[in-house]
Parts: sequence; C-alpha cells; structure tokens
Amino acid sequence: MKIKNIINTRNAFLMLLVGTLSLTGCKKLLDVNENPNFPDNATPNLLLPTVEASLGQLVGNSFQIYGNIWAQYWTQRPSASQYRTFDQYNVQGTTFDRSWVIIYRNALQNAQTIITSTTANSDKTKAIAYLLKAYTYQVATDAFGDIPLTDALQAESIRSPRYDKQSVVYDSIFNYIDKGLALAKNDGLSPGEQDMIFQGDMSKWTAFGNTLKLKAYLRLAKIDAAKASAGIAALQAANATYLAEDAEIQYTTTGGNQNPLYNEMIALGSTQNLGASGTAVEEFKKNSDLRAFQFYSLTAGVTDSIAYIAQGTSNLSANAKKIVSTPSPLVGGDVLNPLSAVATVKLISASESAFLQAEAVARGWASGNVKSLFESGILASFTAANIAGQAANYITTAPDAILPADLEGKIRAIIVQKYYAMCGTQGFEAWTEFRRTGYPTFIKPSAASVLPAGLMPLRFLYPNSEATSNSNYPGTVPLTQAVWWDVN
Amino acid sequence: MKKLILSLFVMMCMATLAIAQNRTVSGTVTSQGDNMPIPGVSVKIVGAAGGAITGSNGKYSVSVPSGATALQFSFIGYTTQNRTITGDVINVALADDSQGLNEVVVTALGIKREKKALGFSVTEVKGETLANVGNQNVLNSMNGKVAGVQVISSGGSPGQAARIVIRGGNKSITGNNEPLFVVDGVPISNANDGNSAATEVEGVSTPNRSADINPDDIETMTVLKGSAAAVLYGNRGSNGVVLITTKSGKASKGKPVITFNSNFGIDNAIALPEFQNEFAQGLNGVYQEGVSRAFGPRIAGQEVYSNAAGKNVSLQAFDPRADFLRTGTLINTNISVSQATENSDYYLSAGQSKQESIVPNQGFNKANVRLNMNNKLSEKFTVGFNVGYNRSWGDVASLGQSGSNPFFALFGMPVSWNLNGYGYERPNGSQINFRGGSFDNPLWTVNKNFNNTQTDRITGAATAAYKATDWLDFTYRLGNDYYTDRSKSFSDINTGSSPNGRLSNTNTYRQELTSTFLININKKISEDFNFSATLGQDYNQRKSQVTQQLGTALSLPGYATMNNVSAFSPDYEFNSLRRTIGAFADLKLDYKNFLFLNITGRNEWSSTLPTNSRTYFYPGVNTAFVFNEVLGINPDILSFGKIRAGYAQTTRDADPYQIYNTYAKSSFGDGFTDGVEFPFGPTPGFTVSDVIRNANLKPEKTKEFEIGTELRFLKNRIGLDVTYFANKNTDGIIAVDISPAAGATNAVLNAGQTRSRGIEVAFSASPFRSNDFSWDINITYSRIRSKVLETYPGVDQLYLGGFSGNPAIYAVKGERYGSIIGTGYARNEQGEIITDADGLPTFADGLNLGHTEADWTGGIRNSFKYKGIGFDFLIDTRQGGYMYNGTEESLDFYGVTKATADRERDFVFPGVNENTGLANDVVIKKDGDYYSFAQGNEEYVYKNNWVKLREANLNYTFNLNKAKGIKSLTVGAYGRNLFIWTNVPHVDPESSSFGTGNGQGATRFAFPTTRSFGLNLKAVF
Repeated sequence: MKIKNIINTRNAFLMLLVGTLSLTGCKKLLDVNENPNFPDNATPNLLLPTVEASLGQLVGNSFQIYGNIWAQYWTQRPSASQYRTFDQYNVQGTTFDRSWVIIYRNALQNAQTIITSTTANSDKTKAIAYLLKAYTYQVATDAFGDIPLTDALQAESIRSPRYDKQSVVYDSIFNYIDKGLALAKNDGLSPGEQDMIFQGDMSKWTAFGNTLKLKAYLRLAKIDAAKASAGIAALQAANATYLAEDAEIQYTTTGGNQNPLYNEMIALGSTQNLGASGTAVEEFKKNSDLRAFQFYSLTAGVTDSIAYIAQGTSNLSANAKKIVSTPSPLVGGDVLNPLSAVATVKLISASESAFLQAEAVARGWASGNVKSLFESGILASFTAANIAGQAANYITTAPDAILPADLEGKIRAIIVQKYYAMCGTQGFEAWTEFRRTGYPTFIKPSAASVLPAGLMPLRFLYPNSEATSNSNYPGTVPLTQAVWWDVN
Repeated sequence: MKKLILSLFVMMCMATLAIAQNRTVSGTVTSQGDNMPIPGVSVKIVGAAGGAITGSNGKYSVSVPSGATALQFSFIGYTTQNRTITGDVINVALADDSQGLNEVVVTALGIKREKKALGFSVTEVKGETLANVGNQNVLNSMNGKVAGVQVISSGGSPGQAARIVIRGGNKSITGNNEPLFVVDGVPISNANDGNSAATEVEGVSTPNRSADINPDDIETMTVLKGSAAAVLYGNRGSNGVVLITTKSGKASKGKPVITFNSNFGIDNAIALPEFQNEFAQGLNGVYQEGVSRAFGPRIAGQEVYSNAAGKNVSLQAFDPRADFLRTGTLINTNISVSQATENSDYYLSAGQSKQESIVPNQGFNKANVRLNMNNKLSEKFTVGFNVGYNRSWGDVASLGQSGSNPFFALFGMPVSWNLNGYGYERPNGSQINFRGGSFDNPLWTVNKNFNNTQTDRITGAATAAYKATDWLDFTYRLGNDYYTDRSKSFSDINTGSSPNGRLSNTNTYRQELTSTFLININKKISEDFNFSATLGQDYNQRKSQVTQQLGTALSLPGYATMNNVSAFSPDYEFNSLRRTIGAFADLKLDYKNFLFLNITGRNEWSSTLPTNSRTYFYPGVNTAFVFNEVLGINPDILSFGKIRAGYAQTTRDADPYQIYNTYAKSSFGDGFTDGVEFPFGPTPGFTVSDVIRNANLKPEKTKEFEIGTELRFLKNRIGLDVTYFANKNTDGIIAVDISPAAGATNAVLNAGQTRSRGIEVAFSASPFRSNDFSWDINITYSRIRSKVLETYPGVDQLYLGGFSGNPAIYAVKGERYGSIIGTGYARNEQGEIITDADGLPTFADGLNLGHTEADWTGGIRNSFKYKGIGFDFLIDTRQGGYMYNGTEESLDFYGVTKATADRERDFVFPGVNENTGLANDVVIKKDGDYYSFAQGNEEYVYKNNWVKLREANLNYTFNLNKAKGIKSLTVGAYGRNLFIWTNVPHVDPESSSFGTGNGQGATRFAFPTTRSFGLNLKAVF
C-alpha cells in the first residue's frame, strides 16, 4: 500500500509537470502564426505576369463583351439572355464590381508593388510596370471618367480613396509613360519569359509606350487640342517608334490559361450568348469585306453568309428560332470550337497603331503620309485576320477604303476603318473611339434600349462596391453622361 | 445523470447504515418508468434515526423501531415517496422526477454540480429523446427542445449539415457563431468541410462534423447557453457549449447489460413547389426545346416536333418530379454492452446507419464503435479511457447554384418534358436535356456524376484521477479528435458545366489535441460554509490540412480516376495550425446550501493574435439564491424557488494568419469565370493578397449578463425557468470590404459592435400523474432582439453570405443582425411603384428587404404514459423575421410555377408612370417578357413564419420483469416533420441555401425537407 501510494504520488507530479511544461514553452508554442501556405515576399518578375494577365482578362473578357455589344459588333442571341441588359442599356453597378477589382487590385496594385520594389536590377520590369499602369489607368478612366488615382493603391493607410478628375488622371498617364520610357533605357535583368507580351524586348516596349502616348493624346484631341498637338509634336521630335506588331497575350487550351472570353462561355455552360449584330455585319457586306467571315462564324452549311439580327432584337418572336452566327474562334467567341481557347487578346494592335499615326498626320500634328498609314492599317488588319492577300483588292474596291480629301472625311474614314479592324478583338477601344469621334455614324440606339429616344451609353457605371465601401464615393453618374474628353 | 452519481452515493451512504432494531422491513425499489431496479435509494425511517440504502439489485432491508409507522424513499431524480409500514415487505416504484431539484448536471470542463447551485442557465437533454426519431445528424433532433437553441437544417439530403446557434448566434459579426462541442471532456470539430462555399450559393451537402456522433451513444447533452456558463472554455466557449456525455457502464452493476435497438424509417419530400401543368416548354407561345423556360403553347395534345424524341410527339403534361424522386429509407442498428464490476466499468457499442436519399443513387452511411471504460486502480487512483471510431461515407448532393444540383433542373423542368421517356444520354454519349447551359438533366446528374465523401474519425481521451485526500484531487485528461475526409467529385464528359469532364480529389485532415489538468478542492469551512475550487491549466492545438487535385478534362467518359485526366489545374494545399494555452480558477462558495457564489477566472494565450495582444483574461461571476425554504414558503405551493444572476466577459481570437501580409499564387476572373490561373503554362505568377492583414489585431470581446429564476409549484407539478440575457460584442474581427481602388478588397480590422437581448422560458407541467397514467407538457420559448450598433466608418453593411449579385445577407448598421439586401421596386416619395413606358415596374438595387432574425421561436412537447404505452409529440415554431424565396423567383422566371399559368389575362401593373407621374394604364400580360423584366427580389421576400409537427413517438414497453433472458422490450413508431404550416409557398422556409455560415434566411433550390415515418425496437438483455 505504501509503495503504491508513492507511485501514485509520483504519477500525480508527472501530470503536474506535463501541465506546466506547456506554460514554460509558451512563447515558442504560440509563435506559429506565419502563414505556411504563401510567401511573404515576391519578386517583380513573379508579379509581372499577373499584371499582364489581368489586363488580358479585363480587355479580353468583360470589357470585350460590353464594348463589342455597345459598338454593335455583337448582340444577345435569341434563346438566351445573359447579356440582354447590355442590349437594353439597362446595366447595374454590380455588373462592374469585378472589373473594378481586376483593374485596381490585380493589375494596378501589382504594377505598383513592382514599381516600389527594392529588388536590384529590376528597372526593365519596372519600366513595363509603369507602361502597363498607364495603360490600365487609361482604360479605367475612359470607362468610368473620374476615378481614384492620387489616393489609390495605399490600402494600408487609405481605405476610401478620393476620386481624381479625368484630366488629372490623363496627366498622370503621360507621367507614367515618361517614367516607363526612361526606365526602359536602363540596364538590368530582362524579365524574359515572365513578360507574357514581348518577352522582355525593351525596344518593343518603347514602341508600346510611344503608341500608348499617341493614343492618349489623340483622345484629348477635342477637349484640349493644344496639349494633344504639343504632345504629339514632342513624340515626333524625339523620333518616336510606334508598334508595328500586336501587343497581345497568347493563350493555350489548358484550363485557366484559355482565352478569357472563351473561358467565360465555358463557365456559362457553353451557352452561345453572343451573336452577330446587323449593325456591323451589314457594313462589312456593303464593302464586300471578307474579314467578316474571319470575325464571325458562318451560317451553318453556307460558306459566304453570316446569320445576324438587328442590334437588340433577340426577344422578337420573329427571331425566336433563328440560329444567329457567333463570333469566330479567331476572336475567342465560338464556344463549340476549341480553337477559341487560343485566340489572343490585344492590348494595342498593329493596325490601331497605324490608324493612330494616320490620324495624327491627318490632323497635321505629325508629319508623314496619311494614305500610306491608312492603308497599312487596313493591311495590318487583314493580316491579323489571316487574309493579308485580300487587302489590296479591298483597298481598291471598298467604298469605306477611300480616304477623302477633307480633314473630317479623313478622320471619319480612319475611325471607320479602325472600327472594322477592331471587330471582336478590341470592342472596348472601338466603342471608346466612337464616343470620342462619333464615328462610325451607323451605330444607332439598340432596339431594346430602355433609355429615352436617341440616347446611348457614354460611360460605364461606377461599381456597386464603391457605393457600399468607399466613403468618398462621388455618387452615381448616369450611363448617358459623357466623360470629360467626350465633347461632341 | 442520476445514474452516474449512483455509485458515489452508495459509497458515501454505506457508513450511515443503522444497526439492530426491533423489526426488519425489506423490499425492492424500482423505477416507475422502466421497472428497472434503482440502486442507492435512501430509505429513511420517518420520525426516527436510521435507514438503509438499496443495493445494486434495488433491494433493501431496514430494521425499524417498533414505534415507526412509515418509511421515506428518496433518490435524486425521483419524487420522494412516504409509505406506511403495513408489513414486512414494501416494494416501491418511484416516479421519475423530471424537474429533479437536486439534479446534478455536468458543467464546464466536466465539473458536476448540483443544478440548484448554478447562477446561469443550463439545459440538459436526455440522450433517448435525441435518438428516437432516427435522425442521423443529432443536431436535427435538438429543435424545439432547448429554449434559446436554434437549429437550422440546410435541407433534407442525407448527411446534410445543420447550423446550430445559441442565443441568436450573433456575437461575432463575421466569425464563427456556432457553439463549441465537447464530448466526454474533449473538444471536437464541428466543421462543415467540403462544402467549399459555406457562405455562398453552391456547395455539396456534406455534414457538419458533430453529426459523426452516434445519437445512441449519448447519455446526456448539456447546453451551456451563456458566457457565464462557458467562461472556463475561454474563447471557444463564447458562443455557448454543447457538452455531450456518452454512456458508461456505471449503471449496469453485476451482469453485463446488452441493449439492442434498431429503427427503420422511410422519407418523402415535402413542401415541394406547386407547378403549372397547362403550358409547354418554349418562348412566346412557340414550342421550343433547349430553352430554359415554359412559356410555350398551351398543352392540348397537339403534335410538335421534339428534338429529344427525334420525331413528332403530342404535347401532354407529365409529372417529372414524381418521375424522379423516390422514397428514401433509413435503417439504424445499434448494439451495446455495458457492465460495472467492483473496480471497473465499461460501455461498448457498435452502430450502423444507412440512409438512402429521395434522390436516386444518393445516400449517407455511418458506422460507429465506442468503448468507454473506467478502472479504479486503488482507492485513490482511477484511470479512464474512452474512444469512439466513426466512419461515414456517402454520395451526397450538390447544392444551390451548382449545375449538378439535381433540384435546379428538376424544379425548372417544364411539364411537357417526358423525363423518363426521353432519357438522359444519346448513343454518342452527349446529354439529353430539356435546356442548355450548366444545369444538367437530373437523371444525368445522378447516373453520371457524383460527390463521394468518406470520413474516418477517432475521438478519444485518456483520463487519470488521483484523490490525494478527501478534499483534494487531481485529474489529467489528454484528448484527441482526429479525422480525415476523402472526397471525390466527378462530372463526366458532356456535363453542362464541364463539357470536357471534371474530377477532383480532396483530402481534408483535422486534428485537435486538448490537454487538461485540474486540481479540485472541496472543503467544508464551517457547518454553514462550504468551499470548493477547481484550478487548472489546459492546452489546445488545432491542425488542419486540405489538399486538392483537380482534373479539368477527361480522356474517356465514365472513368473517375486521375489516370483518366487529360488536363490538370494546379494542385492546391492549405495548412493551418493554431494553439491556445489557458490557466483558470473556478471558486465556489455556498452558505447553508441556499446561497451560492461562483467566481471564475481564466487567462488565455492564443497563437493567432499579435504577440502584444495574445493574452487576455476572462472574468466571470454568478450567484444563486434558493429562497423557498429560507423564506418559509409552503412547499406544497412553491416547492422550489431560486433566483440567479451571472456576468462574464469572453473573448474570441482570430483565425490563423490574419497578422502578416502574404503574396498568393495568382488566379482571378471577372464576369462569370474563374478566369486566369497561374502557373500560366510554365510561367509562375504571384499577386499581392486580396486582404490586408493587421499586425495590431485585438481579440473580439463579449460582455454578457444574465438573470433568471427557477420555480416549481404544487409539489413540482409545474416548473418555470426564465432567463433574461443581454450581451454586447465589440472589437469584431472583420475583413471589412474596402474600396478595391485602395489596392485590396478587404482589410482585417477590429470593427463593429453588436448587442443582443433575449428571454428564454422553459415551462413544464404535469396535469396528470398517477401510477398508471401521466401527462407531461414541456414548453420552450425564446425571444431575441439583436442590433448591429456599429459596422465600420464608410461601410454600413457587412457581407454575411449570399449571391454575389442579388440578394445577399448583410449585417446592416442600426438593424437587427442579418438583413436581406437585394433589388426592390423603385418607388416615388408617396411609396408608389414607378413603372416605365412599357408598363413594367422599375427597380432599385441594394434595398433592405427585411431582417432575418426571428421574433420568437418555441416548442411544445406533450408526453403521455399509460402503463407501458408512451406517446409524445413535439410542435415547434418560428415567428417573425423574413426569408428570401429564391426558388420561387427562379421558377417564376422559368414559367413553371402555378402562378405563371395566369399568363393570358390582361393586367395593369399598379404603379405610376415614370415620365408622366400618372397612374400606369399600360395593359400587359404576365408572360415570359413580364417575368424577364418585372422580377425583383422584393416580390419573393416572405415573413418566415412556420409551425411544424416536428416529432411524434408512440411506443409500448412490455413488462418483462419476471422474464429470465430479456429485461425489457420496447417497440415504437415515430414520425418526423409530419406537417408544416406556413404561408411561404413552394419551399420549406426553414431550409437554407447558404450553408452553416452566418448568412441565413435565403433558400434557392435547397434540397427539400423530408417527412419520415419509422418503426423502432429496443431490447435490453
């Protein structure tokens, strides 16, 4: 009994010891809160692909769809209704929530983190980050008008950033491009394959920066012609090079690496929501433009016809059973054709570059040959559509390939040609240029419009998330209110 | 509970046995309920010293002085009886006293205390009332039985999770509000793994893990409702604690007792939508297959061409719902053996449960084994060991917005679709479906696709107790809860949402280790004062790992193996580790057994908070005053009276990894896609995190006060237990939505403040009680009013769950916790609805359409016993608050609800024209266009009022007292969810589509509730 007692007492003390041991090792036991799943550091070259792919997602999916519908290349197909609210001009703020996140958090914040990185030898990557930051801000302000910039991207200290005037945003865009172009000249480690667009080729990025600057100045052509002309003259004086190839992102058939538009269609259960709009198709037809057969799928069983409906008429009973042609695999828009997965997304296209230069020359703000620039833009578009051989015939025969003598005629011809070139691939930019110039004039309000007669959307709505989470939200601005540079 | 303390009682009282008197009276004391002998009953001689205690066989023998006239028989939990001495043998059947005054209950950390000494609200539920209606998930058996406890079942799929909250469940705005589950002293996980979108709109009907417990193993379930009761559990007890005590062998003295029980039940879907059967699939009156809507022609036997049939068919109305759904079945079988010998006792059980769903090819199964044993090594040293092994497996349903939710396409199916006639697969392997898009033919879903889950779980504890002196003992317990869940989800090639097929293997591993050391002191200071204390220390570690392999394309149809995958998404892995260390003291002082004071303190250290704020203190105090005897109130009128009050502060730490910012592997999308995922080919990509973490995070705090009274009237015939509580919750740890333009979508902050006040009432009455017949009534009632006092500056609403668009559930500043935010009618200043030029209503976004919190909930249970026959039924109800009926909104859009048959009549929407301001006079029809453009969430928000006949039991116990082999035999029949009375059409308003998270009050294609009937058999050998 005695011995047993001793053993028991010892056991009791052992138990006590176990208990107190955990107290003495307390600090070490508790220092386990560093996240083992994710790194607390990432180099600029690991962030760069995220910035680029974010832009691919933005201009290749949501802005592509909205832009192509409002530029009237596409309309909602009958028997489905996913994008009918766009045909109706009846969108909600919530529609833009995720785009806003892609713009600021995915693209801009990662670009900003690259720019402020202390990693050595990363000037080339920083240069690209500056140029893409400028590009992103331009897309964002062209869509939404006044947006946060000065206060933006400082989540640790500013959770409700104030909005800057669009003119201020444009000033910053030029500033970012200049910084990017300057850094691009520096030595440093090339991002190589981590740069999904130009694989670290800084001469191409310089051309990208110059073209972007040209595009941004031309956007101000009406609101501030003096500034635009001076800026373009400065580009000319510096012998700026412009893009002669598409700045684009390649996709693959692998899930998660597919063309973003195609990827969305898959996510929607492979429903074909997007169909050919009569607005664009009829103009292609008038010009016997063979690009149409590249940008749209053909009517089943026919080699030279596109089945289309008028913009916003998917709900007409006459159209109920109509099988409307979809956007083609070339633009990533035919969900039944897996080739859609590898359609590229273009940030700036070679033809766009040529048309921008043509406009600058036409306006007399740069020297050069308008006609040859105009025609090289058309050729670049036919090349991108894989029918380069057809360009020459088109240029000589198509009514819309004629470059008039007067300035306004020139501008109209250039913008209309740019419109054709951007079909399916640069919908947002085409709609933006339509807002700036009023061309092409054949874009008329959709049949399904809920807006008062004659009105069309002139901007995107601020996202609902801003209304609910930003105490400096400036309030809802209606769809029909023009942005600052849109003065026609 | 009374049986648990029996052996202790026997030992304590043995010494007081009286000696040598004139006459010997003997007999057997049994329980009136089950005719089982009761050991340990105190037999006192009225008016004289001396007495006896019944032995393990219930027998007693007492010597009485010649002058004695009566004996008093008393035992905890039974009504005391006085019997006149009429002869040498007096056999007594004691009546169960469900309002036991001296009842001992298990409180925090397994400390057993007399219920009357408690200064806070505790409710105990007997295991048998949880196991008798065949619920696989024990939570679903708790409805209406405990005042202040609310169980919300997500739906009727076998194995499907339920949410349980105590006192409203709103202490943490966005954190976990479910109580801690503790089995035999060991905290266990109640996670709802595999339901990846617990706050979103789709997922899989996996269980909440406390459902792994075999209801038949439960002796008692004790609910510690408030902070005062649960303060010793530290941050985990903040939302209340459900203490489960499993059965032991202690009550089975002598020979082994073998218990066998089995039940068999059938389930059928109830509260299904009401469908129209007049119009066929199509648009604009034209028959058209492939579209999702039923705005086609009137069904009149006309010939139409059917793509599915490949020929002309004559249109007719089928009943696809009846064609698809079947009767579910449930078989539970349990066997246990228990025994207590002089120094040890054990309980060993094995159980199996197999439930087949009302959806073909789906079901859920459980197998359980449990061994509980205690061994007295010496007078001072006792060791105990209990372990439960559980395996559960099943083929469970996809939920909500998932394309594989069988109910989405089933409910949306036009009646013109011949579901069984057209089949689901063409010879070339493609799918036959009435519609396009991601919502599959339900037959395709259940025959081609599946979500398998299999969990293996071991929960156990080893306990050692050492009694140093009669006033000092030590206990150490090491507990471990460990499980792995292996899930496989398969979508075959040609599935709508994954035309190339999809296969995922997900492994979830969780482990929770708890070490508890207790020093118990129990000392009588003087005749009047008794002092007891528990000092202790504990350590808790929770580890989890989730790994997933995902194939996004298959090579061949029909092979659910990773070897058949032709394209992979990058593997996923997430690890989590958290620890807490606690030291605590629980001091109890009582004065003359009528005044009680309990002071509690706990200090805790948590690994999930920043170093400078990781330690915090929980104070608690509660007091009880039993006044009836002190004030000399006539015990025949007021048999028992107590008032109590308690106050405590509790704290909740953060989830792991909320302190340091990290970078994440990039993946993002917009529109409707998952978008881009890295690595992109060979290119790796990282991104800044969505969420800004907080290096200055503090814990969440709750202060709760409660006051209550317990009263028994008319010799315990009537009992009333009333509690009022009020709590205030501050410093909520919230990932606040911030402007994405700031560069992140959320920032982890201490923000928000809520309060909650409520009343809980438990009322019991025994209108009739005799030896043969008894009638008992138990009523529970709970009324809670919460208020969100603060959110975060600039952010007036915090997301709790729901659709990313509309509607979603938010905590809205100034409102009760949980508001439905969605689209409603645009109204002018006079409140009139504004209509557009087409005569259709216009809508506004982001409107508050109502709060989701109930005004009150309650239950009423009537139990009747006549000789061996027992009958009881439970009605429970919820009144007030709102719910969003997303099922109806969608089905209206699809044109399949009964209401949409009224589509040919002229109709003018009551409103005013937006341009003219005059009354709308545009004549329209409620056709397909109307339901496309005139639908707002507001139209589908209902008062969430319902009454349910939740349970009914009828059983008969054969009187087999004399039989040799079999001790008792009970046969019975039960019913569950027998009736629902509600004004909410088409759905069970209780069903929840956003899982077990804080966002409640919305249903959209939830798995239908089932009505069950069953038979059970229980035999004791």
